[in-house]
Amino acid sequence: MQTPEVWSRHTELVLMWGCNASAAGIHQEIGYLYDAMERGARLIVVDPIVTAVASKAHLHLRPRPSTDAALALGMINHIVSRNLHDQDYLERHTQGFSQLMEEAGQWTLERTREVTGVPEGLIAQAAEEYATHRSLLECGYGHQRYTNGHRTQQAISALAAVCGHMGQPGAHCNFMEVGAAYTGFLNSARVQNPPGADIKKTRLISISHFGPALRAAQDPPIKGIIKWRGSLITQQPDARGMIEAVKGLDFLVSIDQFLTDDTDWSDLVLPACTIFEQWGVHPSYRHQYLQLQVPVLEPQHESMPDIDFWAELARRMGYEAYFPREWTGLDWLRLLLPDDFPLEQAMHPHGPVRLPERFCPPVPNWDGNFQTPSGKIELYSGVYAERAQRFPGEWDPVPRYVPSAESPDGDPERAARYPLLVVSQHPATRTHSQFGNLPYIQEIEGPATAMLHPDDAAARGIAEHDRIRIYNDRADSHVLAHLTRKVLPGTVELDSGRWIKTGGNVNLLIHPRAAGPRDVGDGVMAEYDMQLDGHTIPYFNLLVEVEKA
Amino acid sequence: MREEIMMAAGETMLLIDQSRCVGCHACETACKMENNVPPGPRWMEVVEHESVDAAGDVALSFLPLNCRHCADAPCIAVCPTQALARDGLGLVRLERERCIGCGECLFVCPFGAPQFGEDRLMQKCHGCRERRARNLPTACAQYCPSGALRCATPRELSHLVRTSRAALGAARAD
Repeated sequence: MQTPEVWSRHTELVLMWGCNASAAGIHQEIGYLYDAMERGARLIVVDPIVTAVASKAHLHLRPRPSTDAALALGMINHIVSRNLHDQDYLERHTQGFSQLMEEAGQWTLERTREVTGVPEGLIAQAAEEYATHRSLLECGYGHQRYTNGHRTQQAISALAAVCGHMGQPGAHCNFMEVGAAYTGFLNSARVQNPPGADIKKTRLISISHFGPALRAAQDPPIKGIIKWRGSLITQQPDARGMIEAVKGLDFLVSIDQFLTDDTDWSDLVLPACTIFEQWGVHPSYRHQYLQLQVPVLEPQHESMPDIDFWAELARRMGYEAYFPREWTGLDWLRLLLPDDFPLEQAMHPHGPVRLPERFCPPVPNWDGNFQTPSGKIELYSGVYAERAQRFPGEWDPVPRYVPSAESPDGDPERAARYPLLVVSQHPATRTHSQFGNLPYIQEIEGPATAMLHPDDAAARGIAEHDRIRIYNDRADSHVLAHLTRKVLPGTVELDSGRWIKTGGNVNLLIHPRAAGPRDVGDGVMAEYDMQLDGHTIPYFNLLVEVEKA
Repeated sequence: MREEIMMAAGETMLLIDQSRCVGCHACETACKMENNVPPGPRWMEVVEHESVDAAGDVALSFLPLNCRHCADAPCIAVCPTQALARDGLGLVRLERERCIGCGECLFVCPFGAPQFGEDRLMQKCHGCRERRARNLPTACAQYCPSGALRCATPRELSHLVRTSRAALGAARAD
């Protein structure tokens, strides 16, 4: 990741793909983006929805949802046909360009327009501008929420490589990364399984396929869950299946601050401390700083810091020696962080502290080296070809456009009954399912509402603020209609994160299916590689019909 | 009359830059927290406008709307009880003890700024008078993540606008 702090000072063009920087992580990006634009940088946004940041863009491309891979391949083909690709970079730092072009070469502007709905002139202009500037490609998660999401990201990354827009200040391809938290900086193992404790691992359960995995798990079966700092039910793609799975448990414990969808099904609800009452550590997307959270309040009422709960549980399970009773959250932070980390410097009023550059250089891949077997960008992925020998899945070594399983192109038969494709935004007012229960937020959001294109609404006799039923053969959801051209015809927008018990939850409608490249089956695994196997959830792989309620 | 309300050197004003606003509503929340305003009255509200141009392209614009503390404020003129007046800082000040909750101010305000809560008397943005006296920005400006709301003296704001314009000109000339 090259952070906005760095690229905003150098880039000439930002291509923001599936990324609503005006609502999700707004504090991390929008100010830097404006800084770049005030220096004269161009902004191109690819998003089917008219977001606020798309409204600030010089060009806005609105592909039909789930067709982004076709758009990226069409852009690659146009760039190469105009000889705007970086031949020198391709020769020195990539492999598989010819195999890539066997696929991308089929994507003429005309065919790309037919699949994506984006006008040919706009595709060509975006491609040419991207290729001829010092360009930064900033990816969000939007284009990735389909069963073809892994292919799409493969295609978009190839676009950057073909132009050589990698590893320079202001030119890179960024995907969502949480600083260096996952790259070896934090010693998570020392906290989860302290040296000597040797807590046995049984198997791995896919978090993106948790409902099915929970029901499928044997040897041993899962009979109890303690859940904390997340919603087990509301945010799962298979919310109905998750409820069924939870009903089958002997014991469910929720550690929470509010009575959520999860607590409704819990045998025990333990009051959780807020962030103001306990020690914590803050890495995040789009920057490489770390700040320690210092408690400013004593734990209120019966609540206790989360780490105290887990340490006490471990002690009672026979691991007293490894979870000292006198340790506070700060002691655990010392264990979690590298021994030479300047702890005090990362606390108020000093913090935050930049993470060591050996974990996250300001300009990654500046030397043209990549962490692949060949040391190059693998436009033809040898790793995928090899992975295909070991695990079932969609291991295409080159990016292809394959329609998302549940989309008008992917399942015309289903689309005849349920013709509208659902996309879910992350609204600025919530973080996933958090905050939606607060009166102050409800005042801003109003009642649960879905966006419908006026043409789709007219065809169904639906007027502004009518109560509507969004349904398919799995479930239905009742919300109000908002008629707007922010969504494309054939598309419904229903925000993510609405609670089931207060109405408007979108995940009740979704088919429980994990996306590739690896086929994780029922979600119970002996081994798993997060970098290679993929773990995306196809939240927008969803067709519905809408009627006036 | 206008000379009376000119700001003294060092006094700040709120710049509302629509080109930067993305409609995140952080200003509204900051205002509520600062002033302990319950759900209901909205001293600040960001409204969204959707437009379609001749080519069919759709775009959004956003406008944060609070009391603009107008120089020639229509609300002051129509208030029958003199509950509204201009203070020495150039702000439209409300004396709630005088307010009878008639709503005349709301009818004439071009921005819909006057709000009415449970006691049915008028309430509105006071311009963070006390924060500004302590040289702090207004709460809405402090928590705006996009730089759409900025609190500074007119001279500083003018300079800010001019330098960013100059930077853009230089970039274009490159």
